[in-house]
Amino acid sequence: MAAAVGRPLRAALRQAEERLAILVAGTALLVLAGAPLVALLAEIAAGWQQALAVLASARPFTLLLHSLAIALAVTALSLGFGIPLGVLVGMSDARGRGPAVLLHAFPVFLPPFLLALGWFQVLGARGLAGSPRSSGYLFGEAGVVFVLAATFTPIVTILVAIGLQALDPSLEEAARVSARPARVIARILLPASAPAIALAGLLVFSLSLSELGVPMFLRVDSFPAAVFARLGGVDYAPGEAFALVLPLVPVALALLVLERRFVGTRSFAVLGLRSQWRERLPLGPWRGPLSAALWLSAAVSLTPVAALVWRGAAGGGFAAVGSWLGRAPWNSLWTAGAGATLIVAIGLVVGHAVARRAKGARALDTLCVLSFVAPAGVLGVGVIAVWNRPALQWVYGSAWILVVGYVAHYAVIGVRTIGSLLAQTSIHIEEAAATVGAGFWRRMSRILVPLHARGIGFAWLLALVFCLRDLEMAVLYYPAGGEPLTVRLFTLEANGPEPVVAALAVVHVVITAALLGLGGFALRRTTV
Amino acid sequence: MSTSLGLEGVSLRFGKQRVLDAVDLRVASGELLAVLGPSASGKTSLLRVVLGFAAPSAGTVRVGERVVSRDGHTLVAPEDRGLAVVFQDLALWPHLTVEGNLGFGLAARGVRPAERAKRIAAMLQRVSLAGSERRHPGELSGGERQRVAIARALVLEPRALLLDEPLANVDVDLKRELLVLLRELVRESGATVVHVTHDLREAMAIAQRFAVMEAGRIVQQGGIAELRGAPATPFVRSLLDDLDDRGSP
Repeated sequence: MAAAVGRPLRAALRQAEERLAILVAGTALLVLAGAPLVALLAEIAAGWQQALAVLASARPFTLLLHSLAIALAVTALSLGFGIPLGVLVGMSDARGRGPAVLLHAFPVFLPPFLLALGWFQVLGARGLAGSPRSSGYLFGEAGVVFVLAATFTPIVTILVAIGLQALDPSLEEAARVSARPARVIARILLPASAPAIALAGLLVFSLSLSELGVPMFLRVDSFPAAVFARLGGVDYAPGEAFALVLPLVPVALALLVLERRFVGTRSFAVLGLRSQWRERLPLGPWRGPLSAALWLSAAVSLTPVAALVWRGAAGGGFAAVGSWLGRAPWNSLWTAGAGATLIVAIGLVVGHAVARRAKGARALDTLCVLSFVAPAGVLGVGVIAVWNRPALQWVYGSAWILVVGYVAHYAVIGVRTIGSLLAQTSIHIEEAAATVGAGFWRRMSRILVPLHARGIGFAWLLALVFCLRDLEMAVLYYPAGGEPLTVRLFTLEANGPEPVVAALAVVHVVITAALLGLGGFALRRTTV
Repeated sequence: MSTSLGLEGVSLRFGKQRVLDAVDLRVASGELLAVLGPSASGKTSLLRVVLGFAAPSAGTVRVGERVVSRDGHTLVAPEDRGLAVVFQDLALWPHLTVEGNLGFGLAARGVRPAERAKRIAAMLQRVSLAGSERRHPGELSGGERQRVAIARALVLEPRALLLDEPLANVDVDLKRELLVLLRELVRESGATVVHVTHDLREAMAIAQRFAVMEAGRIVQQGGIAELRGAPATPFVRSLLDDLDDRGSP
């Protein structure tokens, strides 16, 4: 009898597996990423009189314009340098492009604030190549733009290179029978990879606009710093913080509209029937100088890291670093690991739903994009609004609140990375499994996950490193004794010994490099 | 008759793998040649060497009287060879309109805008796509895309047109219609044609002479009567048997 009842129930559950999975993952996303945005708007509406008072002055708006101008300048510079570098890496026969791009890209995985510390050791008044004049430039808008552009340019380089390599080689070859390489790049390849370029621009702009550590360290007024000051700084006034993020909401919505318009799920049908093997564009007489330019970009990326090593070693910082570390590295590692694992778990379900155009998937994808492009201050203040309640102190008062924030902010990494992987897999692969009786979880665990183990591993690693480098969210609500390494560095910078701060920064660099190295090694060994 | 394309002792290696093995082939001006062979026989690699996208490890490639590649070196860049190609996946540029796809090569070759517009209009008229100038490839049907790809190649008035199985993925009715169009266009233009395919029926619809490739070598060349007279390998025989079973085009 029990067996007779059990069989239909199991069959019904198996049929509903996919819908249940989307329901659970979707609910998690709504709670973690959606609720903060809703709660923030509710708080603002409830305190509308205070909001009006805060927004009545011109100061928030001039500050916002200032931050927008800096973010635009960083984006323009990053695109200006990153697109040519992406072409060199993705298309050309530049010498040593593999190792050069690895070194060039490394700063992307570090907190920009840490690189500002490094540049300070180079260009500060007492820096390796510094003078009062260079220090004057560094501690100002020009310095912020320079540091952020140097940090974020590799995002453009990598996305442009990937975008170009993803194009069907026939598109290029069909053009090359009638046009010179420069014309083919300018008229065919770059326009065809426009979604990748648009995505790179949006990412750089969003990250620049959210950036808190670099402008604060370089003594430049910025909107995120003003929000932060009202939550934990000298101008403590949490109610004002809610009002202050209001002007950022339309900015976030505008970024979302731009993403939907120029990136989204839009992709040209560029993956053709041919294999992706392609001849690299010969640089001819320009090979030497352009290879040198590529390696120069790698050197620029590594300069601040080298300066931190020098400062930490010269001042005895490494000897003392043990007593200053505390539990910060462990806090960083476990919260980032938990965050990345949740991001990938949600990404598997929602990314699959997006790839297969399931009902409601687009709305969840939109939510992920919105919570990523929303300035970290907006989302961070929303997280506080949702979780800072007596009944939820077991989360808000523990390091789990960091995990909540990471998932809310970076869920898009899992959804988009895994979604694009699965979208490239023929639906017939799944349908073949379904016809022999495999339900959603079995198809997922026995077919799709093993098939894309390397890509999913890459998504996890990427999410891990993004969680690890997060400062802007974590600094708004880290619990006492549970601060991650980025926050530890940020708070020590103001009053800690300079060599120790440099040594702590190097510890962060080493952890990141080790994780990337080990992850890369493990993924290279992963075969399907 | 002068030689339009010539390969002398052309070999191509990828690491230890020999993709082309001492290939000798001459295509006269205005000649319509089909290169037949099973998968991985080196047909597409042969085209890539002629186009200049791969330099032969050994041997010489000529376009007209010019040596364009020799012994591992590409001497003349693809864009300076005066050739045109239609790929199997068509490779229409998705961000350009139909007019943009046809105009790109003309502009790159320095054709003035007025002349360009005239040639594009005439070509689109010829392939029954007049009025589609502003449409993007994504808005076209499969057959229309095929016609744009053929028009894009022929509007350049190339020295030779290379076809890399452009009809491999179309249904029978559309293939028949496109073969008729292609044959007419090729005759009108007087272009030299190298048509790579694995389908002898399709090859016979356009070509006068056939070169059969296996394992990177040309195992037999000649007209259909010569192939029938003494099939050089079991593969050639199977091609002919298949033709007999299904009937001539």
